[in-house]
Amino acid sequence: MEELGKFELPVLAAVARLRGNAYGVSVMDEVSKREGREVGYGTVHVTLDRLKVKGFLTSKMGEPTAERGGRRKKFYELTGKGEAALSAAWSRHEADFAGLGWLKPAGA
Amino acid sequence: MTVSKKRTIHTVGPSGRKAVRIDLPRQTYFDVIMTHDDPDHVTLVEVKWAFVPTSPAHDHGRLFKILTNLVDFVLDPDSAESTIGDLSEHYARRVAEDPGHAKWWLVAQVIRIISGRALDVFGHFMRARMGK
Repeated sequence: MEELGKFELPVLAAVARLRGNAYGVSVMDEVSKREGREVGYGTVHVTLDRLKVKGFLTSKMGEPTAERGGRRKKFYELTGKGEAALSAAWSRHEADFAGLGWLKPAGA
Repeated sequence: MTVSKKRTIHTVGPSGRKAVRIDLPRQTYFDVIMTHDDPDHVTLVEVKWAFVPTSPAHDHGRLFKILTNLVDFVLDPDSAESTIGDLSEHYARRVAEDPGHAKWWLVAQVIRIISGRALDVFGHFMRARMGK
């Protein structure tokens, strides 16, 4: 299976978390919140495009909204391949930390 | 330059000299040189020392338009529409929160978007060359 890049994983996870409301700005806000640092819109945009090309995401255009000057949003959704990649990344992450129960996550 | 007095705003330039500002796209200070026989008109000469940038809101709007035209040129129509909408939504928020740095933020995002697209095109080209 194709590997997820370092920044692709949080972006893919944000799309999964936002379920149906994942578009550029909401994904950027979600990633910034989870990462605890400001993430640039351009970086998120490029990553979303790349994930779509890799087949992890699919997109559809929404309705125009006044707050965006009548421009439509592009909503992203996970594909089956995207879900599988996210699930595999989770398993790998758990495997990496297996046996380290004594170690608490920072801030816990 | 002769303009109607009705279009002038009497003000003081940055050096403290009396000047008038007229409502043009490039808002520039002018010195009043002489009054015409017609009391409704004055002759103005552009003052080099007193160039005043346009209002911040106008400036933000103009920069946004220039940069989003670039995005529109580089991306496909659907992507461009959603990207410009996203930038518009977030830029408005940023201008309200931190107007001093909003412009640089916008420039950085547009550079990132365009360079990302350029890298994708380059990648496609290289893969095609290698026959993959």
